[in-house]
Amino acid sequence: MRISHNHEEKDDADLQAPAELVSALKRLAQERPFVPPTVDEVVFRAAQQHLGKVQSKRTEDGGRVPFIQFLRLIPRWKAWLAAGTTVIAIAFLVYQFFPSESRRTLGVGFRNPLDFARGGPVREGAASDRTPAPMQGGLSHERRLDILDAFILAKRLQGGPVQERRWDVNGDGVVDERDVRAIAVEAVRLDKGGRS
Amino acid sequence: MAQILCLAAMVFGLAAGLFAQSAAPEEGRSRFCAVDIYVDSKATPLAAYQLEFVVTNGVARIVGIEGGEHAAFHEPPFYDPKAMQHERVILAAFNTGNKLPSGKTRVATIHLQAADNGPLQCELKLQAAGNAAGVRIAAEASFEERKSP
Repeated sequence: MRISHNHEEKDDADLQAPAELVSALKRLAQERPFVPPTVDEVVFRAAQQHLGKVQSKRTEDGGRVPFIQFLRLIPRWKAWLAAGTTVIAIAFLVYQFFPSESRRTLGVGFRNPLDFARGGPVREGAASDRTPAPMQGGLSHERRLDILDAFILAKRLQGGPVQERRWDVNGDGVVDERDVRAIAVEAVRLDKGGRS
Repeated sequence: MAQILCLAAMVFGLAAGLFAQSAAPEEGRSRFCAVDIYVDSKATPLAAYQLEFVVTNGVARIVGIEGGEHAAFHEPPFYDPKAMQHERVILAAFNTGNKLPSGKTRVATIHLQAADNGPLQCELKLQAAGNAAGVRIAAEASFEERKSP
């Protein structure tokens, strides 16, 4: 490397841009460059064509656009709208197929006949009047089915068809012996395994 | 390669549970015994019962469940199959007929496999008892280990 002997070390504070450069930059801020409309139009169309090729799912060499790159081309508001719609749809389906009372029961479609949305306070008396027991003035949502519920349904079925839908615990549209068995099975189900 | 290792770890990890079973009773030291379950409904005919039985000292596991002596509860009661080979079970049965037992009656028998000749420690809790109308009644549950002849 050749070093000029005329090179003089200058202090950073003394460095100044050339005057011509400074004046030219100042004029640039004030002057708006003229772009003919035809040139503007050509550039715009070229940009559209280029972006249109990228948005189609194949590049010029026939390969696929990477998925990440594809996602970036989707307008952000559309992506958020799609995600929100998906979440709402999933929540709706979960709510429909897994009502809260069925979480502790046999599984999909099993409904606790002690559905307090339709039931009322318990009155000691005939089995045909058996409804959920209130707890401290309010309706309980936590009373678990027991064998007496199965027994009561079995007794009622002996007297004829049972029309109350809340007894259709297996969700097959019919209240019959299978619902009796389903209640009995639920009554003896061990929570969290059989270990003591 | 990393994916294969992760998949193998998952498969073997899940399979490990199959082999991680509790040790079987030693040869020659285990014994089978039976515990009779009684419900005393006093003067009221017993139409339905539900009770929980637990071996509290962990020396025995449930290997079988049998019905009671009266015709109304002669069939084996309802129970969770998961109780087999474990120490806790919930039994329940009912009968809609007219011939029902009253007083103290054996409603079920639980067969156990014990690890040794030591005493069993069990707990029995009556969860529900009902009369022919489905109304809850006061009753007492008890159990007794059947003595081998």
